[in-house]
Amino acid sequence: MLRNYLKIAIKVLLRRKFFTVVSLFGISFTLVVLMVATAVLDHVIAPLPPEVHQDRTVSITRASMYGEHSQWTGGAGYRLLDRYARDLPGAERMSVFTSPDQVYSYPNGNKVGVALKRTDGEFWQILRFDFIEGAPYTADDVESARPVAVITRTTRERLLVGAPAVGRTVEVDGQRFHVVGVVEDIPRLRMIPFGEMWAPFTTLKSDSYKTELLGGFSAIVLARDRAAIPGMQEELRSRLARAELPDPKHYTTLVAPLESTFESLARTDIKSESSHAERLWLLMIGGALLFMLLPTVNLINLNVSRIMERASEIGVRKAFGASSRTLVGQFVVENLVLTTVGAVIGFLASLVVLRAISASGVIPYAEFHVNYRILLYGIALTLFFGSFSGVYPAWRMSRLNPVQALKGAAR
Amino acid sequence: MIRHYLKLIWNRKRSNLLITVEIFFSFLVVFAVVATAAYFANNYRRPLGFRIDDVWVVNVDAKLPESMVSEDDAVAVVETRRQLHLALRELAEVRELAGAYTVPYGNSRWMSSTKVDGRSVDYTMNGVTDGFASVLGLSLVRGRWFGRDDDAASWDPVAINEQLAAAIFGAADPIGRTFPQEEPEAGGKQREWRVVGVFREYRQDGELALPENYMMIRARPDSFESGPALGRLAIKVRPGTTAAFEERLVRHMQAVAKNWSFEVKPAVEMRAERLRNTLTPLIAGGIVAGFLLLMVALGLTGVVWQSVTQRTREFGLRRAKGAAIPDIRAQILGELLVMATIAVLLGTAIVVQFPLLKLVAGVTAGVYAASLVISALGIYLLILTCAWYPSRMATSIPPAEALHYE
Amino acid sequence: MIRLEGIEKVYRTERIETVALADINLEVREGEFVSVMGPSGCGKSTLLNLIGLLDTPTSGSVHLDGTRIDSYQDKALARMRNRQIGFVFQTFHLIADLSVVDNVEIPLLYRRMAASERRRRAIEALDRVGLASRVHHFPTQLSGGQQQRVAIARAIVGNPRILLADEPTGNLDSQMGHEIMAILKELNSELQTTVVMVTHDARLAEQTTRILRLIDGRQVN
Repeated sequence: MLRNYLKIAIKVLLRRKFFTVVSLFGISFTLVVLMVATAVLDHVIAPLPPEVHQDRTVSITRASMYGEHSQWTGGAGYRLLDRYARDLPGAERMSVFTSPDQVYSYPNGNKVGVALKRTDGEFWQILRFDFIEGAPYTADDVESARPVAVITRTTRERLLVGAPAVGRTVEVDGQRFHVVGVVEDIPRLRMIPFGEMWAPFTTLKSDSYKTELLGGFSAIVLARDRAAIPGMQEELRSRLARAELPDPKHYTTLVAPLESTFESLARTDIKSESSHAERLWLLMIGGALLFMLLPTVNLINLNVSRIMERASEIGVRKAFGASSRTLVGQFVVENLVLTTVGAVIGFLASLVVLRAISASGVIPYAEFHVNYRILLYGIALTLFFGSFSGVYPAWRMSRLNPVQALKGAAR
Repeated sequence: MIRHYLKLIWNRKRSNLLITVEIFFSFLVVFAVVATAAYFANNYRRPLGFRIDDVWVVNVDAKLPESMVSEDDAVAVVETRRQLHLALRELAEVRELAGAYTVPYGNSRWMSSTKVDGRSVDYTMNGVTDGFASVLGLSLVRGRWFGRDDDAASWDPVAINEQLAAAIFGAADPIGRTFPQEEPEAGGKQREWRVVGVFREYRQDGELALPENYMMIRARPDSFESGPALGRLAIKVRPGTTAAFEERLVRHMQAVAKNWSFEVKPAVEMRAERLRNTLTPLIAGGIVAGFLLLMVALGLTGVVWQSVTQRTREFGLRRAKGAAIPDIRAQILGELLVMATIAVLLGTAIVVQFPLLKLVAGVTAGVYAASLVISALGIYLLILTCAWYPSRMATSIPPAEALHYE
Repeated sequence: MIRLEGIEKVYRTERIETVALADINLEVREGEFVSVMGPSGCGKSTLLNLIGLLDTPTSGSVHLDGTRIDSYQDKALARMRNRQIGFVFQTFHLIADLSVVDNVEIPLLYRRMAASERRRRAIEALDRVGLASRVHHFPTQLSGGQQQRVAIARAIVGNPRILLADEPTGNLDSQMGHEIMAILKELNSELQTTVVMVTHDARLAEQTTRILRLIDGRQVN
């Protein structure tokens, strides 16, 4: 039976080329948009190297001090992280680092901007970078504030023009650094690891950071396992509640959420205990559904037209013993064939579009890939889209009165 | 005739409902695109208020802690800054120079608000040194710009833009008037702000931003009080200065302030970056919307084509009874236009809720109304395009044949 | 084998009621060739649709082999149509997207049957109507008479016990009409298939075993 359905589906689709092409266009275009959006999201939050332990890593990126009338929100400060976030119960490792600073170098009179991130030694233990030259600097280098740096492949190209870079010196922002390692480029949107150059935070020009509760630092904490995370969050909250604040007249409370990358993306209120990550999920799903509304109505209209055009065929089939359910089955198969072909085209087109976006450099160092997760989303979306747009027309089909259908008077 | 079409549409209501729904959603998409474009186009054509040719911007990071600054640190910062300004003036390429809290196309914003006759007036502030107006070519419409002569005054001079002057002082002459300040914090004593000049406009976020209330307060490089505010330098360089000067400039500054960081950028580059950041998502959205509408256009063409084919006999009959070819085409278009009108009216009813519910800020009623009209015309154009080919098909078959059409 | 009792069929729209059939009592016996005659709009086609289980009566009952079947569910009715009944229409109703043999196979599609067996029976049926050489043509490539013969092959491929023909010669010239009539008569006599045929043509009606006349939805004897 299925084989016959398939056979007739293909025949019908080939016969009504215009309808088929228009339907395929709608389906594949919808999929391209959704797949590209998914790939970008995946690019931001998926556990890709160097964030190999992302499932049990949480971070502190922002902090806030507030009182009755005043609120001061910003990046976390070194003092906050060093004094209150170390040795949380269940934490295996912890690293502190700055957000990347845009600094400049003028090799041979050209201006080169570099995103410089200053880190501790643990940074290289939690995140596993792909070294193409040399090795990371160590906790000892950081301790003794040695002017050493790790750079990316692109930075090596732009500052040193060619390998090997290890052992050579770069000057940025008026400071000189010895290159000890070169790593592969890191996408701009990977907030935690991103940098074009990394150096010990002890090489910062001023040591005023040591006294800051709010400042330009972040921390990542590697938990022993996922189950330990709630306890760590609880402990940090209670430590911060007891923290000494510099200006108690204005600021009475200090908060700094410890959470995953997705949770910090979802957070809208820094004071709230939960980041309401599920709200962002709902928002994204809602957005996707809203976007799919017009393509769905369009496809339903086309499907209804395709059925009405064949009213007399449906009448004949009913007259010769096809039950409504059989006909619905035939239509569903037809629609599935259509959506599957549309999905394949959409999938291939997404690859092209993603490659074009990666190559355009709109998002620096972005390498959008389609992996099995995105493929899975794609298949799920296709099935949803295909069946959703097929339900109403199939119902209309099953309701067709055979006598009227044979007269061609179906409306 | 219209009643006749309405009857026909009603009798085919199930299929027509779906088509109307599709047109309705398309109208919303078209409106979103048109309103966004109209909003930015309307902003773009308004005066900008400043000129950025040969202006370079320096981001000065004095590496100060973000909270408490000790007395000693403050003195050191002011001294370094004084030397920095002197050193810069030595350079032949530097025509004029000013410190500022924020510069055009910069990413920081300093917002404040004040109470006037019980209503709250929001405005954006900037602390700038005396040379700022001349670096950026601001044009005064009234009064004077602040300068050295104000050193001895017991109040702080401020300049405001026309829009803020109108918002606070109405039609009255604001020059010499006291600028109403927010209540000072308990125990704090605040100096009076007095308006000395009114400038035409200053849209710090550039061409695409909405005009806003703006106030500039005089900052002095030699006082720490206005000190942290001076994180940016705006430099007017000699025309024809090339990028090669950039490195020399940075080294020159680095020599004075060893531990500070500097980032130099021509303002035109900042402008390009800002435009790119604003326009990229819009263009991406526009491309998606364009494809959506193309999809709808093709889809509707298919649907109309099918319905016309199915009604070949009806059209044959009408022609046999004396309808001319244009009549048939008018009928097909007429039916669709009635549906489009229903969809557009429905869409308009929904879209006008947004300003009523204050969901959109800064879009003027004129822009909104114009967008609605343009969107409606766009939808009609889309419909006519979709119906054109099928309506030709419908009349290409001779009536005698059409009557026997299976 | 088919019995209609007290059949009434009324079409209702928002404002008007049209009585298509009233007080029809009819019995068709196994192996009969019945023709239904009457002017346009007298309810001939409605009657045929009721017998063919394509439509349900407003009141009254339809019996097949003594079992009342008018209240069956869609699935059971579909099965009846598939096994017991074959249709031939005035306008042929061949599916333009399918070749001749694919068209003939349609009734067999809704039975469990191997593809090869389906193909064999379809060709056999086409052979019976003299079209074995046109198996892979498409309907539009055939003349009207040939198309109607394909339609008959489609109607008989499932070995139905009843063949319902709604003005099978109405769209054909008299030469072709006679050919079609000859095939129907042959099916009736050789395979003992019961035939009910709606027709305008008195000369054709005369060749059948019984004539039923309808005027304004009522039987006239």
